[in-house]
Amino acid sequence: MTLKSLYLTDILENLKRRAWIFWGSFLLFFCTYPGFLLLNLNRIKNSSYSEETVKWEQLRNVTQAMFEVNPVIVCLIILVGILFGIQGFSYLHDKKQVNFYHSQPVKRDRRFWLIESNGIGIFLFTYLVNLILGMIVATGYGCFETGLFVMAAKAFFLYFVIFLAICHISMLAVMLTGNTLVSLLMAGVLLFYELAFRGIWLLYQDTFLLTYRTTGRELLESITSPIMKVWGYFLYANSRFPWEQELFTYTGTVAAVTVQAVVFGGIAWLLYKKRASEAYGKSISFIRMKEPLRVMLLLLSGLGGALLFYAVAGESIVFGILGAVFTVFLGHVVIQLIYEVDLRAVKKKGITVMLSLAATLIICTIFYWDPFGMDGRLPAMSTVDSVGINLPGVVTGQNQWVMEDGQEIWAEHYADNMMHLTQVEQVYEILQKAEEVKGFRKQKNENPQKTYTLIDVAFYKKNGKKVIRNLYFQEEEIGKVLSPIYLMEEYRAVTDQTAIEGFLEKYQIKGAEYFNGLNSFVLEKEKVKALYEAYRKDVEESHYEEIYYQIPVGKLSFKGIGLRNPDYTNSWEVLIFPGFERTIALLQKLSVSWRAEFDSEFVDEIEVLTISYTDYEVWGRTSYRDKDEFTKRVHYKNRDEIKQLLTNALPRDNVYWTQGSTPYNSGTDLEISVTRKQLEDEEYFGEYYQGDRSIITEIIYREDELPKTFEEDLEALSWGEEKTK
Amino acid sequence: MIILENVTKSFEEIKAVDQVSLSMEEGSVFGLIGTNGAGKTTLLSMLAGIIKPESGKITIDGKEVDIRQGGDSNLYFIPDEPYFFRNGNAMDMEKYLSSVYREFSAEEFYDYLEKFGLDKKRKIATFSKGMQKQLAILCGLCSYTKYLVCDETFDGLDPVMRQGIKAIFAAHMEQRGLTPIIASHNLRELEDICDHVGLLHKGGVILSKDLLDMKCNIQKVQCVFKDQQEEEKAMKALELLQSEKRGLLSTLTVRGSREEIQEKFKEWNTIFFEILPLSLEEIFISETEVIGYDIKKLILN
Repeated sequence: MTLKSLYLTDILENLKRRAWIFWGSFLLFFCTYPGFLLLNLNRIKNSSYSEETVKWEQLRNVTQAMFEVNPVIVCLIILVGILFGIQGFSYLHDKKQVNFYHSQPVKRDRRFWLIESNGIGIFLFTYLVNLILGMIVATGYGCFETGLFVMAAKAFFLYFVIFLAICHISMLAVMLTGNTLVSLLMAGVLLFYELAFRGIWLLYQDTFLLTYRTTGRELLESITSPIMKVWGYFLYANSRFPWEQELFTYTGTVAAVTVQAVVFGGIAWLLYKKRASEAYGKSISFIRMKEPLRVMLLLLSGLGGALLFYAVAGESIVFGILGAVFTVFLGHVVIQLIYEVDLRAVKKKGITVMLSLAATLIICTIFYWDPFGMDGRLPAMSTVDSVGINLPGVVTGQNQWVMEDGQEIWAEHYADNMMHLTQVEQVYEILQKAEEVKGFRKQKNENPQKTYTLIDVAFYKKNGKKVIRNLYFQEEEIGKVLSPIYLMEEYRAVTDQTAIEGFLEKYQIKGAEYFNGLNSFVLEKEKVKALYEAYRKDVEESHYEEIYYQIPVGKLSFKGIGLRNPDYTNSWEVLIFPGFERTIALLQKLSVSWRAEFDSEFVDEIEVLTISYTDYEVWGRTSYRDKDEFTKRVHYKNRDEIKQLLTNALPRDNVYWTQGSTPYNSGTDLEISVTRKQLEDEEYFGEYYQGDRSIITEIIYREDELPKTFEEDLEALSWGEEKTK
Repeated sequence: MIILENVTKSFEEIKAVDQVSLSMEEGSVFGLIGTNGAGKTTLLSMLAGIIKPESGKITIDGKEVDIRQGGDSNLYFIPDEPYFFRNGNAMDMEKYLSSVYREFSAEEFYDYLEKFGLDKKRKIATFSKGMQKQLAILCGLCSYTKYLVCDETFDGLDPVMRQGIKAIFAAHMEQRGLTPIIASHNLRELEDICDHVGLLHKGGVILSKDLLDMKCNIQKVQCVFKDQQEEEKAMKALELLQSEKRGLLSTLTVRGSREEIQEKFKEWNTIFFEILPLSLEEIFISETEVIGYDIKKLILN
């Protein structure tokens, strides 16, 4: 017999020992590929669709979904990987088996590679055979195309490296532990510890650092978890945004997971050679690992507990500390039970527990007090490639961009990902003018009348990562400070103020609609070009420091038939500010009331009321008393008085709420509404509009223009009283 | 030859084997005796390449035992609780062991199975404990390794089976130079099979001697002296290990060869004397008392 044939004999013998794994895996993949395809393709083929083309579309979709990289199949692969990894070396946890196998004249290396290669062989055989069977089934239904073969091959390579990585992690878990249950827990720790720690760290940043904001994508940067790598691939490989695609390519994902598989496999191999045979039955087989593992887990539980208690108790630092203490000790109890299986052992390792608690509290303190000035620190300029900023107050946020692939996405998402201001030095100079974070909270609390605006700034780093910071600017200064950004070409290219050209090119334009906050005006298709030209010039000459503090007078929507659905009219909305003289002049010329003015002829009644919410909260809810008992109400029906009161009234509509924080009716608890006569219904651009969208409309006033009559008349009433004038 | 030099092994704070040095000659039966917790299993496990010693060295025929290399190909280990494949039968064991031990004799294995009345196709899980032990021994014997290490293997066998196994051991020893190493806490069990005996206590070796040498050099004599003077003369002249008197009858354990002792007693005035065979237990008691151990406390009957 040759060495090779001896190895094959050993493989076969090992295979006999793992027969149930073989058949289980075969059955699983059989159900996944040929089984699933057979059932579903047959169902679709036998179902009654109105058109054959729809049926074939369904058949092809199902087939494609099975052969391309599929998240459900990835989950199955992960499960299979864990099963193979744990089962392959589970003999290490049984005394009898250890005595049997380790007394044999078989080198550890050989035994390791025997089990490893057998596991890989079983996976490959059971997967590929069933994949081929699935292809045969699909071919039988006429759904299998050549392109799918390439797709299936790509999917296979990714699945294989995922299997290897997960299997090796599970194997490592078995090497490190002495029984199956603890192995499973250890596998969970290896797979998710780094992720959990990152997650908690990010939560701490978000909670305590004013300027930090996480997007969740940071979790995908996990180094040790193959699951995160694959999840990132699913989420972003087909992203519309180049910078995301580059981070999560197929090749990159396969390479990253392969590296993980090799590293974990290598460590598992080394530990297998070193592992003491007598470690069976122990919770952790390498004694030196016990304490470092304890500290790691206690740190995680302490940080998590501190944050949880802090948040639930309403941002209480005292409760945060209590939370840390509680969860560290709870974690210690659990760990000791797993390690020693003896409740009395909880009394041991006090020093380690104290050190872990101290480390937890130090980290909490660093975040809470920020002694190193993390908050407000921008990424080093030399590491930044470009910056993205969405200036508030200039767009409606209602527009959808059409991407190159024909898909539509919200403009804010487009701007968030496509804005790359490359004049980094100039941008940094502007951003340095943001409020100093140190003492900001205190200053904000001590000066409540001073208002601040928060803006998100995205930093695209040279290493491909995106980092977001929240910066605060004083309301009265923000317009001037951020004005240079408004003028940058790269900024204008991605905001919908200047990007409507794309909309006008790609859609079949039907016309435009102008809404002044109260009424809508339809404008024919022929007017669109002139309107757009006027608007474009107004924008070019506008200044951010003016626009930001102005209230838009109205909204101009360009209407067009969509590319994907010809039955649906798309809109591109832009705000019209008082300074947009060309646009306003043109609207006037077209007989459009560009500014909302209430016509008292159309108003039947003004109602003003005030509610004592404090009393209602205390008495109303507990004793089921009516809210009306805590309300004062006045109705104005006199025509002359209505006319007088409507002077300077503004409709409370969404046009006005895209603006910054200019106060309206501030300092009062008045709710003012008008009852309007119903206008005729209209239909235009293929859509039906009710003539008066709300019979009762709320109205607002600028603070210094609020009629004193309202407050005087209410003052004269008692709570629960109502009056008509 | 197996040599253990200053081998030590601890499990956390417990020292299971402490500076043990032993040698086990080829072609002889080595008996390893000790109470529960003496360190027998640990020692044998180190021999078999399962456990790594903390310090010291173990060599088998000049080659050092290394756990990374697995067990020695010349050694087969039968633990106190042998492992068999779940749902497996004797045939499965044979096929597997044949792939591991290249000299495994399948023919002889099936022959023994038949003689011992063990069904080769029956699931081993349905065997009694004794039957499983028999099977384990047969697997070991048929592997045709030079050394066969048995950890309390005989303890689960009935007396008839024990004799049968001993006979097979003897046959293998004669035919192919098998060297069994047998651990037990039962002295009587090992008496008629061992050539060399080592006694372990609390991880250390108290005694390691050739059994024949021990038997040849210690004699038990029952005698009655004519008078007190004669008795006293005899006591002074003999290398006395132990003496017991009941009435006029004295039972003496003395060091020396049978011939020497016989010659001496002929010179003295005795009513009668008789040299009796000593059991292994009696030899041990005598030997260890000299060292200072009260062996009765160490060895359980």
